[in-house]
Amino acid sequence: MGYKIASSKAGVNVGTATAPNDFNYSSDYNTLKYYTAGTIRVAGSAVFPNTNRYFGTITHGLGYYPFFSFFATDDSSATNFYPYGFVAVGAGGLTRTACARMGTNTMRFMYKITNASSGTISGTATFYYKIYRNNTNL
Amino acid sequence: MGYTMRVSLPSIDALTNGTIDQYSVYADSDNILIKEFSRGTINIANLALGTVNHNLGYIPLTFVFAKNGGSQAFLAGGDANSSFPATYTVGTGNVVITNNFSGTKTFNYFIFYDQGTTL
Amino acid sequence: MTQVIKVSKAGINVGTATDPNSFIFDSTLNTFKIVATGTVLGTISAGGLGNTGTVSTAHGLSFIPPVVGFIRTTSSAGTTILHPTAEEQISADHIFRSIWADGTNVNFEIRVASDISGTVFNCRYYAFEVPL
Repeated sequence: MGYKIASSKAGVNVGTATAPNDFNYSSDYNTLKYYTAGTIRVAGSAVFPNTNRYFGTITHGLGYYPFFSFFATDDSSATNFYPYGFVAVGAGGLTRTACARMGTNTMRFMYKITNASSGTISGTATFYYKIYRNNTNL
Repeated sequence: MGYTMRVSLPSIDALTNGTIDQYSVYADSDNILIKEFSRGTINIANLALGTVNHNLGYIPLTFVFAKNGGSQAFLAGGDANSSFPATYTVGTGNVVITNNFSGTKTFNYFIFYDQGTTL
Repeated sequence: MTQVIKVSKAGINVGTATDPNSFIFDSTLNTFKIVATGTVLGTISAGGLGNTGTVSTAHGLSFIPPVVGFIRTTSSAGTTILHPTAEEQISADHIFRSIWADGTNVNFEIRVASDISGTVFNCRYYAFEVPL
């Protein structure tokens, strides 16, 4: 017979409940577990009519591909936190893109600027990342 | 001496298995479970915004999913031109979802106490 | 009186703390549960710029789950995993467009770089509990 720990939601009988939604916690189910978090800023510019990519890298050192999440902001709209990056078309033909990719020991962030307007346009993206212990086993 | 609580997944020996993925709870100081603040559903009209207030005062970890017919899609903040044309942003007081679908859609959300931008 | 199990973060008094973020574990708060997870290998053929295909696998659940996922790709940038909507980080690269679940499958929508044919993608999904 297996043993487990379970805590049901208010009003639910922990001894008879079976649906995951009936529990606040059940050891039958895995959870997302944090490992580390941090912030990295990536700045860049583009002269019309170019598209330029800029990169920033952090080291997590886990040795495998972990579950991850992150928010990205663009300094031009710093109150908006975009989960898993953004593809934003700004005023005057400026397109900014922010995304990331994960390696077994590092995580790389990209800030891309497309200047379809004129002159030189600059910007900075800030990435707030969280890396989890959970191994994707990819 | 610090203490911890570890609860293994079914059929795993909690005393001998050293892989964190085999634990449901691994409450050492650098393994912090995700704790739910609120969950719910919001219907948003075509090309409209929908706001879910959380009033936590910080950016919380948040997941939003779009329901489209018999499917449910994970939303990332970025690409309004993807097959599921909806995006969202998270602020210190609310979550704002933008529906770029061709009709009214239902969105499921999970907001957590856990910080979205720090550990 | 309600019984609870709580584990506070280092340096915090578990008996007096009230902020949910002071705890590593609190049995009064719902813990986001992974109800299923799996991987699938799929091949998508290149068919010119912007060719998009879908890799699918059955999730085995009786409901349509919220899913989060990642894909592993190999390009000139090396082997990495991508999140949904990640743009290419080099000009010739794959894009993980979206992930969604229906009543049977988890589906990964991927745009293949035009100069790479017969690409095999290794995809991982996590299915979570139902919101309501």
